[in-house]
Amino acid sequence: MSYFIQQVLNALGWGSVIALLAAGYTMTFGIIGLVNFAYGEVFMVGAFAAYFALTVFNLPFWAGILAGIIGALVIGLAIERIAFKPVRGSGMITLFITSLGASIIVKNLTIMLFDDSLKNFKVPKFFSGVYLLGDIIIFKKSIIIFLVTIILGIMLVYLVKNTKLGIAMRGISYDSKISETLGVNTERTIIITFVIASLLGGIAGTLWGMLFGSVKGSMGAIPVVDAFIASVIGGVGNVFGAMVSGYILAIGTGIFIAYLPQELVGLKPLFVWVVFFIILIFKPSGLFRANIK
Amino acid sequence: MKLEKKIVEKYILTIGLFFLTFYLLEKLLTGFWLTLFLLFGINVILAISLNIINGWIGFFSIGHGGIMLVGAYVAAFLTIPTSFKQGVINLHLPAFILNTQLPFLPALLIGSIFGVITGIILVLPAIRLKGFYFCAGTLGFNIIMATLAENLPKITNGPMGLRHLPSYTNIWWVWGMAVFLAYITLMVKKSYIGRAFISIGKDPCLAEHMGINLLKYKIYAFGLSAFFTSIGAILWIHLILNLFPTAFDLTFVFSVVTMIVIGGMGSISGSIIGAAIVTLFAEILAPIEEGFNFFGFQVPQALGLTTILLGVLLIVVLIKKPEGIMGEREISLNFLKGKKIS
Amino acid sequence: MSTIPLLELNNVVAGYGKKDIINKISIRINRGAIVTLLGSNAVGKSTILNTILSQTCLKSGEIKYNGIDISNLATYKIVRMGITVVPEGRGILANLTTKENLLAGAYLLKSKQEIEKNLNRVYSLFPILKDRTNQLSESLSGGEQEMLVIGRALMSKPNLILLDEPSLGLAPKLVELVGKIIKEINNEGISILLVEQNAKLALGISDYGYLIRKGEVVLEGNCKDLVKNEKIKEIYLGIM
Repeated sequence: MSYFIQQVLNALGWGSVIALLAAGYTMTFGIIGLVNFAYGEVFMVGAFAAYFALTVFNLPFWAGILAGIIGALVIGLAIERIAFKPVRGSGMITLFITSLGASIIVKNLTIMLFDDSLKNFKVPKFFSGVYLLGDIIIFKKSIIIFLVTIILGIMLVYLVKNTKLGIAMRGISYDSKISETLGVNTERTIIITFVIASLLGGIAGTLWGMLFGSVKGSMGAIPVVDAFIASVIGGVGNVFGAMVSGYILAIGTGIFIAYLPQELVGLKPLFVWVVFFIILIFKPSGLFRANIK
Repeated sequence: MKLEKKIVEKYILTIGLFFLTFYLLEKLLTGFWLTLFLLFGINVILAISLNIINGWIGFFSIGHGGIMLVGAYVAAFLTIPTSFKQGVINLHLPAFILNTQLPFLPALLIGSIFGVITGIILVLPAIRLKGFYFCAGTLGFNIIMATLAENLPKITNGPMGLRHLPSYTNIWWVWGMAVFLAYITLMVKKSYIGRAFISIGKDPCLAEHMGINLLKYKIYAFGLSAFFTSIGAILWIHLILNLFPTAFDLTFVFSVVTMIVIGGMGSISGSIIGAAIVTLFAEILAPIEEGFNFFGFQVPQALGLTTILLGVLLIVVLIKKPEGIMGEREISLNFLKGKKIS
Repeated sequence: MSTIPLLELNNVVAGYGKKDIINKISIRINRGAIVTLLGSNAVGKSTILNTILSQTCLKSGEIKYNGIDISNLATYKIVRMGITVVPEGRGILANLTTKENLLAGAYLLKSKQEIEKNLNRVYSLFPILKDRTNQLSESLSGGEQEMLVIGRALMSKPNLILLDEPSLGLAPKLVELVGKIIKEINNEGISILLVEQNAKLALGISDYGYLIRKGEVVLEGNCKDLVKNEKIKEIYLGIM
């Protein structure tokens, strides 16, 4: 039993990062039907920016977070302007292909400049430390990340449900033409959505670096897939659903690995895909209410 | 009767011309140019096969990597000399595989048949997924197969991969297959089957109402595509002489996608042109990637430059000319056919 | 009353891609008037409305609202200037309730009291909507949905409402009701541009009319004169 609890607690840390990524992912997925494969790179660039600030330039902790956010914002918006805006309206598949292209470009560029080795991420002192509960180990950093994510989650859900911006976003995801005739500035709303998503990506990247103590050029590949699947499970466009699903996937994967024989541990990525296929076959609209028809 | 004789004569003439060309090319091309030409041919095979699914029946698949892995591994099991299979690598394969080594053609066919089976297994559940979710599902398929290949060392030798593949790939195999494939698909495109494929791609509901059995044709399409994709993959591994689980990863599949997007999804000549462009592009950039000496100034390595520029090329094409160079048309070969039958 | 028309289109050419759907159309709507665009299916009437809202590409000509050129202004800006639309096919937000749909119409309003006031005004015009206030809008009948979108268009207190075929698919009694409501809205000072196939309804309530054929104006005039016009009678034989 305590082994089980340990797995769940272990998963809370990186589950939080996935939940944040899923929230950002589902926002752009819901609002303009964009499956943003390049979001993993926004995440990675945020982490790298924080890495540079903290480890290379030895700046204080808050500067690291700021750097992560700014880095992610810059790359996220750049990708939107270059790879998405020109093909908006051309259908989900085209948008996906350009996002694939953008992802490959940014990822390989980073690897080209900084190679694909693990970069040591300087973790601030107050992050380290553990609590012991019986024979269960709780990492302080997991708790901090979890709390930060919950707070951000609450803010996001409030934003989407209660603010004019949230209404505009939901309106556009349902029917952008009608929303525009009700006075919604769709262009600006879309950009703001990308800003929020990039922000989330940057925070997620920075937190990941702090959680695992390292970053690398190809780190975005697996989390972006988890985030995508979480959005689908959660109901496209549903921020709450995406975040909860992110946790479900992380905890599920954690338990899955725990009960796998040692040599099959590498099969970890399979779990999320099995869940993906099951949900799509039995409940394609997702576990929670989807935002778009 | 006279007309039939003329057509038969034309066929024999064309085949003879191809034979002659291949023979001459084999004598003339060496080293870099030979490899380039072989790469081009393999890319043509892969591009045309992918086009059948992505271009004609309109299902955007990026899962051919999984099919390629299956076909390649099966063929590799059969072509690697028994001494290596038994001694050097500790594989738990059925004894008859460890003890045999087949010549190329049977291995090619058997591998491809396994590829087809995989392709059909992929299509059956995925059929229910519409549009984009199908695409995501194929991505998952890729990842699942690569993960399995990497984590079942008793079967695939895991991340260490397989080596000592015999060097079977040559102009005859590659370009024989490429020409054959191009010919078949051109014929199919004009036939009922081809038009059924294309109508499924354009408007599946309408196609169904016109009496086309969607499932049957989708299976045909996937079968055909998977068969030749596997052939392409098997030819590839017998050129580079090794096989790793990452051999047909997203970057590899992505370059094939780029070929058909540039050439025009739905056009066979487009796929050939796209394959040519991408192959040339990659080979021109390869030395730059290695880093080189430019008038005494050492330009550093730029690994991944090819992939990056390929990505840029893809985005540019999608923005400026999304239907590709050829759109859905083919290069007209009417001049070869001579007089039209009235 | 100002002499500048509230909305004017001058020699407007518009369409999708290479096709021109409307060819040199000039229309004038005076403040406080109900103007109707008549014509059968697919002559470009809806395209005219879409072009006013910048949802269709304006190729040449100009559109002026209150004397200001709005030819290539973004849709939301045009809406913010006081033009709302009741689209063809109603355009309800199906996943929202009746009340939520109406509130969506008040998106641009900031004051809660104002929104409340406008909501009550809509409910008094359409009592049936008040009964259905928390029902999902997609479960409303055709007539109720039409009232919902007209109500929604009223929520932001517009100066001009564009109505695209409000009578489509409605029973004759409801058509009469729609006509009465349009008149009542107009009496409060809201100008109306009405696109209709139902000539009887349109000519009965409008002040001025344009007959559109193949993307061009073929006839225009005061409705009392149009009603007597032989051409109109000829085209709408049996419908009059």
